[in-house]
Amino acid sequence: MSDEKFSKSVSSAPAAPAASARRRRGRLSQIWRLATKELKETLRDRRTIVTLIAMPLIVYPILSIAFRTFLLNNLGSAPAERIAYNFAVKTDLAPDEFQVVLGQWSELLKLAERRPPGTNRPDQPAAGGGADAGAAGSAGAGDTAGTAPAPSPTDSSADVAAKQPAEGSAALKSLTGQPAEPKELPLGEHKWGLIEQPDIDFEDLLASGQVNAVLELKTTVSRQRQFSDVVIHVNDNSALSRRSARWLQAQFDQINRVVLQAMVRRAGGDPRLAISASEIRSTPSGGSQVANQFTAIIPLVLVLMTITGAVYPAIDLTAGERERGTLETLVAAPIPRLRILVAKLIAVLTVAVLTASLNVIGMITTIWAFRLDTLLIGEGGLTLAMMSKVFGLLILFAAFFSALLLVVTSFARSFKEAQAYLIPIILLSLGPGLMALSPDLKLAGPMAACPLLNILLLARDVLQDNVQLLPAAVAIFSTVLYGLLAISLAASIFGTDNILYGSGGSWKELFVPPMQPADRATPNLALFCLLLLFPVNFVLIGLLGRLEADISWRLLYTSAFTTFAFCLIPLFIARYQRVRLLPGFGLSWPSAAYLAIAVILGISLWPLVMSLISGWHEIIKLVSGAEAGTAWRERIVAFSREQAEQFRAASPGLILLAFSLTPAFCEEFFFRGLLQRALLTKRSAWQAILFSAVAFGAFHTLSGSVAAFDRLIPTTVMGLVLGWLAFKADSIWPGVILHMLHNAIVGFLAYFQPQLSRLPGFPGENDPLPLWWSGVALGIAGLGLWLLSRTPRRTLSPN
Amino acid sequence: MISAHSLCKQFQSDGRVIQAVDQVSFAVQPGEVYGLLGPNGAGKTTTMRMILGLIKPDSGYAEIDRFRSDRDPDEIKRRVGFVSASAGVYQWLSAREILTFFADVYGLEPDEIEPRIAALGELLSISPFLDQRCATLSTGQRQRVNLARALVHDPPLMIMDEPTLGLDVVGSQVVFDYISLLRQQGKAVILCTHQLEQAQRVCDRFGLLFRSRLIHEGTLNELRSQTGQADLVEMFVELIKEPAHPSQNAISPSGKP
Repeated sequence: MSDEKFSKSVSSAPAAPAASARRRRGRLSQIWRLATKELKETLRDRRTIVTLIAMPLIVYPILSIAFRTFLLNNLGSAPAERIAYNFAVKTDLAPDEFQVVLGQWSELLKLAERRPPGTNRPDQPAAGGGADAGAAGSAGAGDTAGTAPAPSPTDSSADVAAKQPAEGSAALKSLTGQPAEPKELPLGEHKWGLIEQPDIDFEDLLASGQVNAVLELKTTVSRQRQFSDVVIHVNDNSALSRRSARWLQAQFDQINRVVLQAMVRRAGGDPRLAISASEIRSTPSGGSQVANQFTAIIPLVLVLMTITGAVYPAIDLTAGERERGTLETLVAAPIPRLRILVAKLIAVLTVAVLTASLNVIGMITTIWAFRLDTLLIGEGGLTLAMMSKVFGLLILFAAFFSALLLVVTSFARSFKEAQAYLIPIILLSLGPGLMALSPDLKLAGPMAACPLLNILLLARDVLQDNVQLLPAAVAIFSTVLYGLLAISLAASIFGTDNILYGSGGSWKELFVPPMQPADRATPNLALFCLLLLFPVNFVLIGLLGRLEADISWRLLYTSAFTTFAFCLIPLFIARYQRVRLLPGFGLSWPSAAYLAIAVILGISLWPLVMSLISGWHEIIKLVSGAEAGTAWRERIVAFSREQAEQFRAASPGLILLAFSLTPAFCEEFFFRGLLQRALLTKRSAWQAILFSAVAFGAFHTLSGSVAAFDRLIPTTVMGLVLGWLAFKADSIWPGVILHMLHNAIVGFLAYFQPQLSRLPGFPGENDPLPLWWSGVALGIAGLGLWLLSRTPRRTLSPN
Repeated sequence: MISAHSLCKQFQSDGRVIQAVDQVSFAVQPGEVYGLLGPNGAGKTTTMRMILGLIKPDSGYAEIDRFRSDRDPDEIKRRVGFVSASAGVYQWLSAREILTFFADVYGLEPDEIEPRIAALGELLSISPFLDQRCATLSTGQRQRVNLARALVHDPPLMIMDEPTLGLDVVGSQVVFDYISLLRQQGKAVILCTHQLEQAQRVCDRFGLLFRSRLIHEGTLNELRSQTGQADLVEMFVELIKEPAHPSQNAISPSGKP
């Protein structure tokens, strides 16, 4: 091989490769070039193309066919037709007698339709609104005096055509349970069949679908064709049946009105009834007023399609690298892993967005072609502005979800492993997806920061033209934040020793005891314990709720359950895996300095925690609006008051046991003992402290039947302090003391609240803490923390 | 000047601690081919990965051009090239695209990349299929693309891990020519292989790793006098029979005993 040319090309370059001048090229353009390589790698793969193109081509037409079939079945007819109901009549009358009755009814109804000029015609729906058929139409002077233009009982077909948009919304309203308001056929044009068998079962008849409703006329003895006890039998499962019954009922109401008015007139009175006119008019709420759950389906489908598009590239670009053998050469290159991951993120995002775009086009085309747009969205239909906003949100979501996928797949060493990790993630994503379909769920408060759910709700709001600025901003901002967190996490995992050369997870570590005892639990074991405790805790709390016992017993149960969950289970697991008790849980006795610090912090942190809780309340007020926020806060205060009342029935000793002593020891035993000390073997101090603090906070937030988000931040902060203390002291005992004192003080204040608030200078129940109290406490706590930072860390020998 | 200083690495496996590399130090001169040899499990691969920066040493560091791996890991990475039989290629990219990508990653200027790729193409005879997708290349062709990739940033140190694995005689010859070329250009080469006859032909000096320690080091003649065996194969067989013993030669970073 000739090396002259090579030598020339080499000698033309400076001897030291990649001098700092190179770096002026700019990181951004390098990231773009990296991303281009990733994109080429993934888009040239046939499998990506299949998911990208084949799905939209096939899925949407099928979906819309299914959708229209669903609509058809629920309505019982195509939306634009008028229906002739099928009534079965049970009566003693002979058929011809019944025909006469029917004729009389029709006449009365015609009377009801004649109105003086200027009042609403009963057969015109209010502009865009839903009007109850029974209330429509004013009961003005029923006299026919020819003053009003005689309305034709049947509309011309032109009118029917003109009402098409209303038909659409009417059909939709019937789906949502509101009474429909198409122009119905007159009474005589519906089908009336007399029942001849004496003992027929109405239920069977209705269930068979041959009739829409059964009219049972029970004649009076006098047989003067006055009926009392008219019963209309309905098949509750059929929307059509219910609709026919409602309509019939409305007709009877009108007939009765006419008859009553006639009677009043004959008696010489004023035939106008107490309430002359009543109708329901709905005010347009800007844009499409028909809020229904179908607008939430569109974002959900788009999101699912995006996920489908992103999954394959995410796996291919991370786990696939290892399988192909290209991971080593990539990690051996002098390029920060974050940059590599960002480039991969761009590639995955691009494919996801491409998928989403093709799906959007597919969806729009199908909706437009099948004329589903007015049905789904309402009067306005799909506007370009709407779709572009939804698309923008979709890109945001795709970026976040791609980052999430990359985190998970970075852990994987092969395609198979990556898929195994991703399946639960995707299933978990379905949860928020389905929740977003519920129309009662609003984008407000903590919901605005809930990943995936917030974007779906925001997209639904956009489609309903109902966006509130602050929750929308929170949703967008939090999604961006989560995405950034995810990608930096992925960068720290990708290509590390374990992934490059690890042998893959094995069960042995969890179930087979090791040959030699160890001083600490492994992180995997501690994490397994944590995951196990989550459902155990959940079940125990539920159990506690079900126990019917007086308060003292309940406090004892609480202590027992806490001990079981956070002491006994970790103890058992650790001992089974031959973890030595003293070092594994940090039970050695610490130096006195730390005990002193623990006391200082234990008595001074409680005002800080309380202000964090009120701070959270303020944030809720800000996000949900002052009214909703205050109402929520008052609910919480009332709830706490109730609880405090209950607890005062028990002795202070039991309260101390259940809320101070037991949780202090048990929670330190697990969170700072097993968990943090296990994490410290493989991670830096702050990572271990942070993780156990967050786990600690999460457990406290989820410790009731409702998520108590106001406890999340204060408890996590507390967890950080406790974690730091346990780390420096190399023992859990200072933390136990701190925790004990803290809980005892808070409990004491709550328990003796009525007595204490009578003391001079003491705040009342709803008053905030005096500022100087918080000041003093902050000072003391600050002192404690400063002392903590200055005290040197000494590892304790396990003896 | 390339050296490893007291590299140490432990692994945890099944609750036991395994010492993979124990105080391994050696030095390689520019223009020298150093054979890092040893039976399976001796620690060669781990040592190499530590120099490459793929694994973080528990203690010790590698040094190139006065940059240390514990202080400037990126500078070390820039100065090392890596050839391995287990390294794959990007299936859907062409050789040119791969070379461009790595040239970029290693910091070459855009105007330098084209001539460098052309030169490498000629050097390693990959010009004919430079624009073909790598999925369509044969094993030998892929290996040559890998060799080109390792050289794209002209590193002073080249680490080669079983470079002739899976190659036929022609392919192996390409690798030997490549090593000669590297030597001519004054690069240092660390070669790990099980092919002891090949190593004997190609390497200037050897380091024998056994059970995580560097047991013997030196030229072939020096090794002969140290071990009393005539060639590498016999030295290995003797080594495996003996119980583990500490290194008899204090190795200074300059490579002299």
